[in-house]
Amino acid sequence: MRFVRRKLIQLVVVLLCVTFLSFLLISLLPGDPATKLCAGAGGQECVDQKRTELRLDDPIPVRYVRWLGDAVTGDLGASARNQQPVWEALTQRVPVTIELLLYSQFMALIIAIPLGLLAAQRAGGILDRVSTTVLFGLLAVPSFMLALLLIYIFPVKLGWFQATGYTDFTDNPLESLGSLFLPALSLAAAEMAVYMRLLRTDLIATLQEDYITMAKAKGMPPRRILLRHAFKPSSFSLITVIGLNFGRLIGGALIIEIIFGINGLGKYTVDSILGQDFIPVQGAVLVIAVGYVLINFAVDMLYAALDPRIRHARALA
Amino acid sequence: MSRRMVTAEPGAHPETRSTLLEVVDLKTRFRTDAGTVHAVDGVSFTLDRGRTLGVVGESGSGKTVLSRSVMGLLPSRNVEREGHVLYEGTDIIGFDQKRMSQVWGAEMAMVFQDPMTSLNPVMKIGNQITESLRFHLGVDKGEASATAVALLKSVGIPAAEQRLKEYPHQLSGGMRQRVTIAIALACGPKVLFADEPTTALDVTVQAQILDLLAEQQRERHMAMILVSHDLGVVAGRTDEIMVMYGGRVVEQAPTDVLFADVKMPYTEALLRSIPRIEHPSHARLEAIPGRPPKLISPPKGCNFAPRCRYAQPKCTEETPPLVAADDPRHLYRCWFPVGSAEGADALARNLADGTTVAYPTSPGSAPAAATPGTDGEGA
Repeated sequence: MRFVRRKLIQLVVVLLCVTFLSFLLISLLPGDPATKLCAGAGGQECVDQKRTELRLDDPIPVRYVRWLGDAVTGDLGASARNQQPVWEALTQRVPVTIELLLYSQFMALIIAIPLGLLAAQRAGGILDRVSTTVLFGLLAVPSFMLALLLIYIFPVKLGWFQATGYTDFTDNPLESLGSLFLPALSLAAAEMAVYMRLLRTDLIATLQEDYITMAKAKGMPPRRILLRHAFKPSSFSLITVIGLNFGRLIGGALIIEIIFGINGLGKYTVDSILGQDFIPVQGAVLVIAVGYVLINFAVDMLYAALDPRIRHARALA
Repeated sequence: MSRRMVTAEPGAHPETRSTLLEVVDLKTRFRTDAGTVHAVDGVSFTLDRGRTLGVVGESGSGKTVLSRSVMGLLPSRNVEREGHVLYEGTDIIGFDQKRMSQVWGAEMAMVFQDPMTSLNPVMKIGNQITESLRFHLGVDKGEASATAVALLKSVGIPAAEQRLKEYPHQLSGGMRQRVTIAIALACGPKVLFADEPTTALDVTVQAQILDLLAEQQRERHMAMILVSHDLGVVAGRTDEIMVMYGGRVVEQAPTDVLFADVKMPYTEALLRSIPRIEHPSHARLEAIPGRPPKLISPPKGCNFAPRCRYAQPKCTEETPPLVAADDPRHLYRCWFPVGSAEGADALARNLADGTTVAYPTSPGSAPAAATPGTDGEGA
């Protein structure tokens, strides 16, 4: 439990640093919400009035502390462009991003894990070479290319799936998964090769271990050796990289979101940045930072769940 | 260690003194990029029920490969096996993995060298024992656990119930080796391969583990192949000894016959390298100079010749065959055997010359082969 407590303290520190730095960075950019709001009308008078209204004239630390105070009470401010509260926007956008994230990783893993297991068992065999070549081919194709290709093949030519748009998961789970199928596949394609090769390489090393020969000498069938004896100790690199990918995708997959017309967190963040609408950006940064730290935490906990030695070392630490 | 009473003396089963395992001209080759490695080159032996065979040799002599090859545990890729392994009269050399699964664990089992690496670090000890019980004997979970507790107790592990839920890293090296022995014994195998079972252990527990193996062997009337680099280890614990060098058997005899009348200079050299308690302290340890032979395209002649104190021109030209001594059970592979007139002659000649014919004439490295007695300065 000391481990969990330490992680929680770490979470708070990381969040303070990240949000302050992004606050600082945004304040350094030329232009502010007031000029944006008064664009085209009002002139300097309007800008001054808006600045006072939004209290933009206060020093940065004061504004940061004010933002922080509001944030802990759940008030992340509102967009300067359309007055939509940031919290409301995030509750709409974040579930889309998370669904896409989980969906794409699930897709990548459901292909990569069985292939990795089979390829490791017969390293250098036909399946190993064919799957490696195909997956590296997919890895080499940029995701926007693949996305356009998939749109051309499925919705345009075959009439399968939809080219753009998103159905909410709570409205209709099946339709929702259908609407995200192509975006998720575009994201997953590049990751399959990486996941499969990582698992394959670690498995090949594990299969050389004495305890695998020992399991064989006990008469355990090859499939059981692979799944019960070798898989768990070979999954550490895989988990690490999955964690990194989760962290990367929590900020949204901007290009894929734009191509498929999905209103995810990535699109929201970029739209806000381009509109010099900084309160929403600050909210998005907060979500991304929390996501990153939580994923790191989850990966750490997974290591311990998989390896009793880590568990015991932590219990003693 | 012999808390449990011995239930069966080897002599108590005269009617079961039948051949259990017969290995005939077993060859094992590895195909590598550098060439073919002849790791086991025509080894034959017979093992009766309840008996112990010691396999002795340096690192690289092929003893570990031999035991794995007999058991069929080597990977199938780039490995060639030839010859016959008759287990209870059936040649198992052509068995596929599926048929071997019925043999492994249930008929033949193995205790590995290093208990730090031979137990799965992420599996509970209990599961590692019960999985083979459930697979081979088809017992349910509860029964398997009960058997596992009994097994752990029989190999001398205290608080066995509790240990089932622990992981290997929570146990000491000696305890772990006891666990691997329990795993190997779980399904009542008839042959146990013990591949250097004490090499990785602390000296203080080595004797305990060897005693445990001997005790279990007697109780279960199990045959055992004890692989070791240490003639001292196998001396008092085997019925027969096979000395290996460069993948070949160089001397093979019943244990008492071998120690009474060593024929092979290599065996003699191994014996000379055992430290003796009667030597003065700080006496220099005897070593065998040089290295074991390369097993890729081995040179003609006797492959021990470059390191042998007895080596003569004939040794580098002609490979000595495995011949029987006066006792037909005693086989050796040497042109100038220890204890013979030819051997004494050869050694005297080499000592006089200060070198041997087979020693590579590299400057600076004096051939220790011809250094007399126990001074061993050339090594």
